[in-house]
Amino acid sequence: MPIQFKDVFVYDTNPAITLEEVYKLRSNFAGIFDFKFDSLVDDSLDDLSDWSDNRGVWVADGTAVGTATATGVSWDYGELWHDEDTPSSFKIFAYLNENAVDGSCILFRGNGTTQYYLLEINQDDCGFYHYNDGTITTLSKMDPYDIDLTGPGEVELAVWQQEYSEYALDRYLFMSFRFNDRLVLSAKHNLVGGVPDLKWGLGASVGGIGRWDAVRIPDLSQIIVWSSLDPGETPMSSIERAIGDRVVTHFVRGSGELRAFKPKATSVTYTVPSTQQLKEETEEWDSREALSHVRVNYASGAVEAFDEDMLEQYGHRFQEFYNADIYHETEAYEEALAILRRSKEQMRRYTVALRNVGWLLETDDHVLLPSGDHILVDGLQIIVGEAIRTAVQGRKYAYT
Amino acid sequence: MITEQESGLSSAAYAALRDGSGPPQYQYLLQRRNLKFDTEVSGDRLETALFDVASDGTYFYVAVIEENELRVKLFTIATQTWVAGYETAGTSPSPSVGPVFGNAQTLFYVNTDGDVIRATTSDNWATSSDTTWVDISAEGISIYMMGAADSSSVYLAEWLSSYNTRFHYATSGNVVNSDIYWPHKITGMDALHVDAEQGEAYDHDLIVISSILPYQFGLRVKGSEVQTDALERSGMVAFKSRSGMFSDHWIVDQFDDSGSSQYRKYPHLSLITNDYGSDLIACVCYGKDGSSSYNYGASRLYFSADGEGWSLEHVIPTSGYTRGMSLQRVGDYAFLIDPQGCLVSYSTELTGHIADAIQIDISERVSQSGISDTGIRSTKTQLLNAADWKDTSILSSENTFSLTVKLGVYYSGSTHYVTVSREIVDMITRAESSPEKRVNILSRSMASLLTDRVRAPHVRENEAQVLGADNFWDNTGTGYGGLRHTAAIQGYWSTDNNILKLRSNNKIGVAITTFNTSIWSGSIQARVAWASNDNSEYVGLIFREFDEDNYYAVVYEQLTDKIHLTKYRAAQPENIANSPTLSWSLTGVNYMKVVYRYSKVIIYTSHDGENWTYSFSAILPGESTSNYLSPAQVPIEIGGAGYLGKGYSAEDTWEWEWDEGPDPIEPPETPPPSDDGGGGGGSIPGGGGGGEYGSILAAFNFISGTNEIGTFIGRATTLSESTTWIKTHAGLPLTASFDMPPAIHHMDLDPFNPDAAFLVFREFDDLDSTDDFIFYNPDWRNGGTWQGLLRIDVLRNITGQAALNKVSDVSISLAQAGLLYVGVHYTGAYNHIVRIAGYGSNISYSPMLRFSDTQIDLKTFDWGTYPISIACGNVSPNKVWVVGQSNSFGNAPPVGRWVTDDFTALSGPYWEPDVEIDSWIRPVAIINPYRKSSGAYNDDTELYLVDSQRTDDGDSGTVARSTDGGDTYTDWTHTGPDGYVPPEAYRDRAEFPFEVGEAWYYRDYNVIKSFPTSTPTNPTVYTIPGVPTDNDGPVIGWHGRVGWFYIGSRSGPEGTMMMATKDANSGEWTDVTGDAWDYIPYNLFTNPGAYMVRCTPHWTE
Repeated sequence: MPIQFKDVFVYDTNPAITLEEVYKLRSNFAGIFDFKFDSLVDDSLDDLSDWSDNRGVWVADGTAVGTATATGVSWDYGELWHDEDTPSSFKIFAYLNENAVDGSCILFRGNGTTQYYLLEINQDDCGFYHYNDGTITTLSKMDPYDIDLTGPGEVELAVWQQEYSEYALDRYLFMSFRFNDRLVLSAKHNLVGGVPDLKWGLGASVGGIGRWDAVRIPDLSQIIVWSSLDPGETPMSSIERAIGDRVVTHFVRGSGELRAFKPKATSVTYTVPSTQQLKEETEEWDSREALSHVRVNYASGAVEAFDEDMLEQYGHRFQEFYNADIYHETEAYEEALAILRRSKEQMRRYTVALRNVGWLLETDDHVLLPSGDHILVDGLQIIVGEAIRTAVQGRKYAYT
Repeated sequence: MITEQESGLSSAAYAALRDGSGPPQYQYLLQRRNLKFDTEVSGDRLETALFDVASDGTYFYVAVIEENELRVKLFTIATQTWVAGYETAGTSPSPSVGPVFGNAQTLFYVNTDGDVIRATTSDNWATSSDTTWVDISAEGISIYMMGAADSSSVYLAEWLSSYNTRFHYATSGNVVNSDIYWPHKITGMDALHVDAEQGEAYDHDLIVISSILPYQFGLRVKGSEVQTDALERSGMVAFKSRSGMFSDHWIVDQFDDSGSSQYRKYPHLSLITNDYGSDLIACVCYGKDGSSSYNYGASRLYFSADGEGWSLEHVIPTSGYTRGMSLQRVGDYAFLIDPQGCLVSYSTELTGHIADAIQIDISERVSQSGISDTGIRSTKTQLLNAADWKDTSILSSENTFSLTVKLGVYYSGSTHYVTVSREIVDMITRAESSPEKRVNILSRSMASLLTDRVRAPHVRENEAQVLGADNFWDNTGTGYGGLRHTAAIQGYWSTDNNILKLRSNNKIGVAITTFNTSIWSGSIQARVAWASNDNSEYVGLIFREFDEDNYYAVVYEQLTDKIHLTKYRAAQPENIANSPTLSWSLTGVNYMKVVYRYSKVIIYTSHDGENWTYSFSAILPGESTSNYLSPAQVPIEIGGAGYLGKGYSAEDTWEWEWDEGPDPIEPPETPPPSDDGGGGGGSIPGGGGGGEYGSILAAFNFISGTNEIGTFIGRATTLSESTTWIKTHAGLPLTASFDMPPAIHHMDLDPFNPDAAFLVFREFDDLDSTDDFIFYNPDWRNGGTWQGLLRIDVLRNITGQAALNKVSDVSISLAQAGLLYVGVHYTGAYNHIVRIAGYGSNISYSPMLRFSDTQIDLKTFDWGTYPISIACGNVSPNKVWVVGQSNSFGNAPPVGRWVTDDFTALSGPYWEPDVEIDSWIRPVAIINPYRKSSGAYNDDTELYLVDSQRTDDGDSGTVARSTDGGDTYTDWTHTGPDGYVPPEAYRDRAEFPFEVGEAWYYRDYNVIKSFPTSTPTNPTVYTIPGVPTDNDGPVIGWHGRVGWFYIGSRSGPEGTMMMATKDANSGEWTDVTGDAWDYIPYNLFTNPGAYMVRCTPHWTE
């Protein structure tokens, strides 16, 4: 038998970088230090209104405190599941109130009942585990040696999936735990048995206490493999390379803040008073960029998305997109749907002129016109003189 | 939409805006945007980087060390003047460590005892008579730089003998030793306390350092050769710390091609309150950009909100201020200040507040304005230019301007504004169409900073964490499909059944994973297995791999049943640390994991790959100097990670041409290859010796038939066939008083000074009080003059042996530059060790307690009548190993060591006699082999015991090696061949095999033998025949260099000297004696082989 190696895992200590962090780092380089980002979850844990406990006992009043049910079964974790799913690739930022008692956990990529992954943080060790219907598998557990895990402190959990080929043997889930901005532990799991779900929550080990102050999952949580700013390059060019063909809206607000977010269905931001609309209005229908079928090529495959209404109305209008930073089929499919929706939005454009109002609006604000049309703001033209008039340019609000 | 909360208006006013229910209003403000430090208030013109600045709003306090005092100089902010004189805040400060302010009332400094002193004034330093001092000493920490975060937290940088900077966090009475071992000497450091609101949920400290960063290795063409080159990178990095627990770092700025014309140094941090957004962290340093011929030096100002993301630097022309400055903003002014002076600018939006003097309201001049927002908001503003207003306004100056547009409503008796755009002015156009005069301003929002105003001068990359998992799944079924993520570097590899296998039979195999081949800090883990338990196999992981000859290895060795952490440079192993015995030999399959972060390495083991157990940790050597180093000398900090092994394989179907591999890293230009035997210098102690890889020959003689020292010390200036010899004997006693034939016992080259050498005499009798028996020549390579180093009356004085007049043996060992231990055996059955500090400069002698057979009873032996051998590692200068020598094979010699904290006191040193090294060792000498081929000239981790007869097999000599400098008594491992007999085994200068390239060589009378370094234990020994002796005279010395050996021999007391070389591959011995000899050769030395990077190994012949 020759010398042998097996089950290899290698990693560096760089932090995983989300798209939000690319925006932040590149904007900082440009001299912009204030931001307005959205969050999928931003919960100060004053109550448990967006949560449901599956096992154990949980209370919250600014700190979520959970204990497991004393069943005598070591894997019977206390579970507190959030209503919102994560993306496939994400970071969770959570504040560990204290860790004087072992057992604070974060649950992720689970189905909310019988299957999930978890990070368990104890005073002297930590570990990643996979729970599968009564069986707990240790993925990696160790004493981090130099690192004091006694809270309080900031926990950063990065989770993302990578596929080296279309075969299940080449599909991995990676997870990294940082504490106070320092890498503590990374782990892998070969997803031979299928792709796990997207539920996430907080947990407490048996005999331990989960004690969390606040949690946040950024809206732009996708983990970017690489971002660089090359000599002579502008920060925006670097940002756009990280975005790829993703549908993301960004702009710098009048205050100097950078705002970036993934477009999503919103309630009406501003209803234009009928008394304020001037009789200057255009509505334009342009089918040149209509799409009914898109293909998004991602890192290890491609997804196809169709819009039945558009197929019926405009026939088979196809376009192909590439985004090598997307490693997950679901994420790629969501991007394909966003591209179809953006196409639908941009087919119908509006311009309305407003008297004295409208300049508080910003890009992608959802505006209800006196005509009853819903538009998303694309741009503003503000004329300042004796009066202040605002021409609002928008596109159709296409969410249903 | 700008929300009510963001607008800052009342609900009613906001509703009036939103619904258009009031008259519209607007306000346009124009400001200067750039900082212009055009006012200089000169200080004392004290040019020093050792200063810090604090402010209480009334004064700037500038702390400096001057005339052995810690002085605080005051700058009155309101009047922008320096206060005459200074206040004394402390005495006896260390002149090499800069003071740092914790806040305006608290100042930290290091005194000459090395203690950290916190000086506090209850009000301000203008009346410092109320100063109190508290020693918050970090005892035992050798501090060379500090940065204070607040009045109770100071960060310390310690320079370790492992050439690493270790950071510490000190508060009152408490020091937290961080686990950050930074492998460079930093050039600047500051710290700042950051409140929770500033980007984090919890308070933390921010530490910024300037330093060399990991070198980039690459190739360059020189003439017809492709050479390896190391590109220096440097820059500044930031850490966060919570109570001394350091985060991973962020890059503030970095350069891939740094050097004396491209760098950043002396960072100073300050917090700038910001009227327009997040408060800003300012970092000012001094920096240069450019080439050696054309470069530009100036202060560089970086901003950050959270210490993670940093701006492109503002380059502030500050001619003459080259030691870094501190940015302070008070009121309408921004100040750059250091002990040389203070530069003043109006504060602009860049420093968080716009001074009234540089802002004008142009609302009344606006005749028309249009704001367009289709991606980037831009504004065209037309102004009335009546009476040529522009020419007298701030627009007439050459500056950058900003435009703030506020729109609002007149409601309930007042005007309510909301800022709708902050823009930077692109263009200003004056237009006149009589009689109308206008000024048109075109401006764009801050988004223009992203799109075109700012471009990166250097690459700024943020590599997200790269993780790779490899199950070696072969999707081709060929045995090679499983190598999709593996690059074989050496040996024959394939995969089978999801396993990576080394197919080379009993040959070293090296492979790396391709997921990330450029890892600085990271980890690799794997399940490892080996073939046979009795085949001396080893298997493990490598990291920071550059090529097949340069990497770090964490390898389990069957023979020792331990994991060894080993550094390989130019294929030469250098053991760093070892695990305890693992009892793995019989299990066959185990898991190993190595985690490396900066210079710290932690090794874990596991039996299942899931639950990891700490095994051991170690600190990797860093960089010895901040000067430029050749590629062979710089630490390899980034590289690939992978696999290393050697074991049995029945499927070895592929052969590697072992002798034809690519060359390892070799020094490119420093020193330039030549054959002149001199020059160089370099920064490795004793290395850099120039010549053809440092080869210098020396022969010296005594005058046969007389009792005098000879008149000649020879120095060869060329190694070519026409060797020329130059006398180098100035300062030696031409006529000694000794009545016995003198003997130049040996010559030692100073490993810490490549130009210097020692001469040691012995076995002389009837010594006069003024006779020296050790000489030192600080410039021997260029001739120089020999100086007496230890005189007999000094020895008499410190030993108390007034009648001492005979020294029968001398052994020396150099611990550090300027620090020498001398073991002296003399009449009366006594031995002494004398510590000589400051040789070559301010010499001082310290005695250690003498010892005799009654004082050392480690083993029973005839201690007093036999000489001693001593050695010490430079990493532990206060530990001296001593070997007494046996008088026969039957008597085990003593081994012990002295340890002390204070050699100046007789009571200080103590002997550690009650511990035993491994019982199989029967040493005759102990050697710190300064002569290393791997570049680590004065290796501090290896210590060798030359063993004339192993006690475990009765008649076999060998060598025992300690890999931790002898710190652990039981850390001695068997190194070298069984049966090895030191050439001078029964003398006190027993030799250790000479290491060149991949083999060790030793002389065994008239043959040279070699064995490979790759099998250090019980290796196969090969013989190189034909030591060139014309008349069978004795070989008097020999040395090797790259591919060559030099042999000195003589034919009896009156004979001649023959110098010979032998091509290590196939050549014959050649006489290169050169010019005629009129003296009798005694010995032969070459400059130690710091650069003997590779020699085609004989052991394969």
